[in-house]
Amino acid sequence: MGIPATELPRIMKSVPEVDEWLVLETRTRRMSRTLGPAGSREVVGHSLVALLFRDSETGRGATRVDLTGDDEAAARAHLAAAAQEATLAVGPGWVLPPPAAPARVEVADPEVIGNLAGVVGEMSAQLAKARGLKAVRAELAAELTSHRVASSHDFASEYDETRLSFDVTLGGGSRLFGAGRRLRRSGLLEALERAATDDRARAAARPIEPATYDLLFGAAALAMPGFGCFAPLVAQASGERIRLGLSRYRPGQKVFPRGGDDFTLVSDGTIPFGLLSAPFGRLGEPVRRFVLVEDGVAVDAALDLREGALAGVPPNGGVRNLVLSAGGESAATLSAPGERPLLTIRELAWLDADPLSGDLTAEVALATLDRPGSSPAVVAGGLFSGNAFELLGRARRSRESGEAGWYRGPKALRIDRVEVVR
Amino acid sequence: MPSLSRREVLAALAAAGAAPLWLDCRAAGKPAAPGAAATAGRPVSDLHQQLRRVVTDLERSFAIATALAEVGSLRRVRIDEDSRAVDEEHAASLVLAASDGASWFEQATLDLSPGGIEEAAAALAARGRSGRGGRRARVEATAPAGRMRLDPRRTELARWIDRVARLHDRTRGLGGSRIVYRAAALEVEDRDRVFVGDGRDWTGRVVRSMARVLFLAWDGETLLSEEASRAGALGLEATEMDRDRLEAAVGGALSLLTGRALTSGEHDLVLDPSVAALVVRHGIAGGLLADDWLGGGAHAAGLAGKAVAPAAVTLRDDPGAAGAFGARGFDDEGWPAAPAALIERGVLRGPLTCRATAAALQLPRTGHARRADAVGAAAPRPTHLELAPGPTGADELIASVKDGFLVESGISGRGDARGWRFAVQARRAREIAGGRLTGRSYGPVVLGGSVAALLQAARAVGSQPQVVAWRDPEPLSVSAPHMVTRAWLGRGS
Repeated sequence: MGIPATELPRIMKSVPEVDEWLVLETRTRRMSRTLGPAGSREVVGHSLVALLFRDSETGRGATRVDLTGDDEAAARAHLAAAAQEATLAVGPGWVLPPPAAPARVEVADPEVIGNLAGVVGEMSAQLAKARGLKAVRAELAAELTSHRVASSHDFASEYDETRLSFDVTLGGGSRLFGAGRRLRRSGLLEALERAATDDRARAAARPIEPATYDLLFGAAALAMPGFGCFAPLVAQASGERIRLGLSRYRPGQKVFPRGGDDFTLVSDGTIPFGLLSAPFGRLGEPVRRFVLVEDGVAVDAALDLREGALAGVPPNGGVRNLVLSAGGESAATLSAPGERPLLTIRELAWLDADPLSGDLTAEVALATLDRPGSSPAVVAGGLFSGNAFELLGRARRSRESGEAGWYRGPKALRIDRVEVVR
Repeated sequence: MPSLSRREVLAALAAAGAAPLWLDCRAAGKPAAPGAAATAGRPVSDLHQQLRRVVTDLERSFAIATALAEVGSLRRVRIDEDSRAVDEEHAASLVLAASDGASWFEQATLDLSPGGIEEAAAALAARGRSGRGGRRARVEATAPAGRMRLDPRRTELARWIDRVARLHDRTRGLGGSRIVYRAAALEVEDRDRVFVGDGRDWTGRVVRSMARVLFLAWDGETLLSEEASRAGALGLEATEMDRDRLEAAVGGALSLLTGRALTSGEHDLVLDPSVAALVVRHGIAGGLLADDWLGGGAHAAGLAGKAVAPAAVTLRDDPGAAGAFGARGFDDEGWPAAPAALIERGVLRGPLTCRATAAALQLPRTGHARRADAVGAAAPRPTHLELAPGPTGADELIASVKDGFLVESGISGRGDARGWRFAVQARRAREIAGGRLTGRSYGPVVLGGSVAALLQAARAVGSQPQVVAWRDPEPLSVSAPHMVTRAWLGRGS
């Protein structure tokens, strides 16, 4: 039986030659059910890690020690050895900031806690009831994770979070995936409805003709995993990159080569039950709402505990849910084709954005093609590439709002003059 | 040229589209705290004995019961012009799986203490029906790590740092003053694996090492990058990179100084091994995974048994390839490593499978089960892909192209099995006219489109394969030579 995390602070105080420390504990329980083939699984995880810091004239040495499953004697031995090794990896000097209150945000659904198997059962029932849909492969999961942090500044905090996720492939080839925190807002039912429509449409889809199109994205298409087309903006806002001189812009500088003068992007980890919301970040720093870009100009950097200390400012827990400012046009206006055909993206097979350069490629899995004077047609299979900074800088955004996963913002985003190839 | 500070040099890195080693070396989504870490763990022999008992007990309640345990670490050392960093991640995982003949039940835990394992076994047993099973005889085998000259477990940390420092020292002076920045890194994964059940009792050790060097070139306005790497089932000798490899990377970085924007379109292309490897990984093999074939959703599923490429094209996955970065002795379901033919002399043979997908598709089990994050659901994934070389040297392949491009230095790629389509980003394309390189370079570039069309248009493969390796998200290596084909090529940005 491993040492309880609550006992570690007592032990840490007696480890010689350690100037400051953090203890991080995570306990996870995940239930899932699969189809194609049928099965069920439970994953139980526990991680207990200590970060030790030793200061010298040349800077701060750091060590990370995994103490999961250690009894007290083993933990003491590992900590003593780690304290010696800390001198081998020295970076710039910094100190832990004074403790600050975590964000007050709900991220655990009481209906899910203690009822993971029941929740997965209910999601399975929703899938089974969806009329006209045949799932050839599915994974439905419910997860409860408990986080605890303690520091040498006599600070300790903990919170629970719940997460429901689904990944379903239908017989017609449509794939729906998503995640949420609450049973009643998992997004599965909405995704099933959309997929049913898409599955029928896919059967009649014809290949996309290579041409220059105007592209229209809804909230679901924008909320791709890993921040989708916003990934380069998120990466450039990293406090570490900015400190090392690796970011293409610094706070106060324009983000886009052209346009984007009304583009404002906020990181908000305090949205109740937001997919990326949390009271505190990975090193125990409080999560705060902050502005990444305001009217096209970089404002704040993403700062964990260390980067905040190195920058001499309070940390903010890093980039979380993204909130994009509304535009000046209605969704109906943006949905109308102009001089070029309009491709309304129903599903992207992938969107791959290089976080450093912003170069991206994306494959259109399913779209609706609108030409003035013609009936809409369903099309599939087209590749486009570009640069996220250039594309977002000239994107047109709707007044109306939508949300999906980590994304909050315009329900429609249109980018004109994009070459699509086959 | 004014002398540049490190900060000024690095400030232009984003324009080069290259990731600095110290940022690339972080596991996706899990940035590691800097520092060296002490080792921890229970003796593997002790763990093995307990798993044997646990599986025997489970076999009383289930028709089949298995246990897969992995214990190990991933350590990284990074050195650049004025700093050094060491970090280490430890991993311990156990997946207990059991079937009652109709469904499979799995219980996974990251707590490999005796109590943690007993708890997981009890939770799984509670889902069983009694009296169906019985102990099965097990064949024992050991899959040792590949031959290593410098075993990471027997080498103290200071020596690791010294080897990376010496690799970094070797880069000094290469490329002259136009190379303004150099960095070196070593990443070593060292894991013990135990599988018990379903008639097998296997242990193995997997050691994978990857050494990388980054060069940045400066033309007064723009910073451009190129890297050299060496990866395999090696020990610390991975840092012994030959001078040719380093000079090739330097030459590549310097050639980018004259890159220009490309006009998009379909072209005859010679793909260098790094680009061909990305096409193989994301495009070709990306459509040949059995979980995508379920329900007939994958485009390639309708082409099984048909000629999809000229006879010059043969592709297989060989998890037992000696010294390969992606190699391992048995898969995550305990199935033995064996080569699987994907495309044989142009004919599509079939996908990679795991236990469940092989049963569902009524195909042979190829033993390519991989569990995401060690405890996720098993799905078929490639390990070490090999595009068989041909008889023709690279110079002859270029000479065979009247007008087109030599695409070099692959960066990344993506693919979609449903349409069997792909896209690969590369650092540059060199113009070919009349079978000769004109000296004009363009970059960065993207090639993409239909995999089926690219395969049909493939004309030849080169005679000198090179190996490219990645760890995102799972360890994978590809051995690929040059390849001549036709596809859409456009600007990267």
